Amino acid sequence: MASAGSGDEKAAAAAMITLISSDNEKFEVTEATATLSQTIRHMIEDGCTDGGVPLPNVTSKILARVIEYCKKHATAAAGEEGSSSSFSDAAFLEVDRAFLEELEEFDDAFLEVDRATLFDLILAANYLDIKGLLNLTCQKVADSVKGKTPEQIREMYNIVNDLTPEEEAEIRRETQWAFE
Amino acid sequence: MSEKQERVHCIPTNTEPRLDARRASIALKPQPHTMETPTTGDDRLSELPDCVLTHNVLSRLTSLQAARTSVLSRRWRHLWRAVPCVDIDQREFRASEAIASGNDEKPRLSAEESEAFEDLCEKLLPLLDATPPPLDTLRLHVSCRDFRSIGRRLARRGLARRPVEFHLRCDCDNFDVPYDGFVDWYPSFPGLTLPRHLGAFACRLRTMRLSGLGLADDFADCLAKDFPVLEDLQLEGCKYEFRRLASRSLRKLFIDDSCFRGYIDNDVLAIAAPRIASLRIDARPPPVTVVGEMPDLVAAASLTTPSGGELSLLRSLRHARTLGLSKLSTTALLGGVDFPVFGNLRTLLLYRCDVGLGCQALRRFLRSAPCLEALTLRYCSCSGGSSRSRKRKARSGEKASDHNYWCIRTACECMSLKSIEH
Repeated sequence: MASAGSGDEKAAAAAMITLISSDNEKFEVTEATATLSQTIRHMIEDGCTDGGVPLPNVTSKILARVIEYCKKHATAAAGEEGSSSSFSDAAFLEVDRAFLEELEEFDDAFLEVDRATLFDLILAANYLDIKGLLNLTCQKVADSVKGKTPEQIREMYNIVNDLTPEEEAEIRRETQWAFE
Repeated sequence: MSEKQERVHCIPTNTEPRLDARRASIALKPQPHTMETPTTGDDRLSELPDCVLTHNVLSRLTSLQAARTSVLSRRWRHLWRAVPCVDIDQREFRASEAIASGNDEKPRLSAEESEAFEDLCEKLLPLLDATPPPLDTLRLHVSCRDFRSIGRRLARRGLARRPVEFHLRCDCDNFDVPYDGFVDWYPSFPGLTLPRHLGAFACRLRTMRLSGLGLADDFADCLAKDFPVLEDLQLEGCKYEFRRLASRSLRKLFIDDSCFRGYIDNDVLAIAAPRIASLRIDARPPPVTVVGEMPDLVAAASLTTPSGGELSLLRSLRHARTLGLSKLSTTALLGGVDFPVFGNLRTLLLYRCDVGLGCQALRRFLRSAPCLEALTLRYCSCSGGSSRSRKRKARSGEKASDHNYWCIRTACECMSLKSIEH
């Protein structure tokens, strides 16, 4: 048992990746965590992760949050190792419902951030190509504009209306069916 | 900013080219020249790359809501046109008073509302569109009453744009129509004219969710031959009549809250899907048989086993990591000679199963599952006597019935087991 254990540890140690944020902070993560990012997955496949992966678009504050997300969701994906399936079998069984609820609670708590952080997370998820995180964060933005009038959306997101009244009237005519 | 430039390249070409220059200047510094007082804070939303706004934000809204963003500012004027998703929800056309008054039992649109709805459909899915760009997602939500008149037409036109994902939801609101049989109550899909074109329409279709529809043998026929890359199929609140479901591409099948139209005692649903990874059939399912092997199977849940065919079903499921079975008469397994080995099985849930006298049959099952980690028994019985399920997780000091005693004793023989719940 002991030898098997140390063998596992060796394998895990070999699969560590260093991520370097824009402000030069280093983060050690397992390969399983890092490969939730398709961008990093491709870099690993191309063998260019020695000496760390510089991420000039992501600050340490945001990278720490992104890694937190990936760690949690990597354990969720771990149940599917060894299968080519991208489906979560946990979702299919009652017995794993507790785990799914925990994951949902994590996601809800994860989204309890100010708007600036939310947008930073969206940009990071887009850049790193982490589908789950991009879906999660963009869903929050989409939910926030659902059922709102253009005026309400402008106010909520500080969107400055740079259309002249004539232009706005023209657009409303073009897409009249949407404003009736 | 490199990612921004990179992403900008993926804007579909039907956006106005002038837009880029304007957008860039706006993104750098918003220049308010309107009468409105400039609000404090940055407009982070408008600064997102086009691709994120169109593919990830606007595509989560209905097409109506997405189109309304066109008046937000110059930046937004044409963005909605590049959204690779058509989402038409008929409920948006109901007067808000009708919803507010709680009168949503009969969500019938007034004449004007119907007209507005049909106008929108014509705008979003025009009949004569020279080169319609392909869609990522098509979502249609139509009332049952209007499905025959407009729903099917929308589905046909929308599918012509070769979506990757297709959701069709039909609200059953025929309460004032006398029930005259299954076919009229639940509108049937795909119907008469669609199957002729499906072969071409469904060439990219990977995900399909159908809700509130009647699915007869013609659906199963189409599934077998017209959906070459369909991986994920979910049927919710449907009535299905087919007795055989075959697909060479399907990876995930989830039938939920749907009724099988048949005599459950006699009928068996046969599934022939060699690539399936996840399989779940909920809500009064007929017994299931599996045709051939399922070597990629990861999880199968809520399968009702056919009496007499237990062993052959188990053999087909033997690659699963997670297995949930109901009404399995394990006693019937004892006679069989070649009980399959479940080499990957980690989680086993038995629901309303007969685990055999003194858990004999369960013991046999456990011996054939060397890696099993979690076992859950719900409403199971030991040949005859039934035991109500109690959620009990290793709580000592409670009076254990014979049944519990045998289950625990049996489970103790299984070395890898980490948790038992019954």
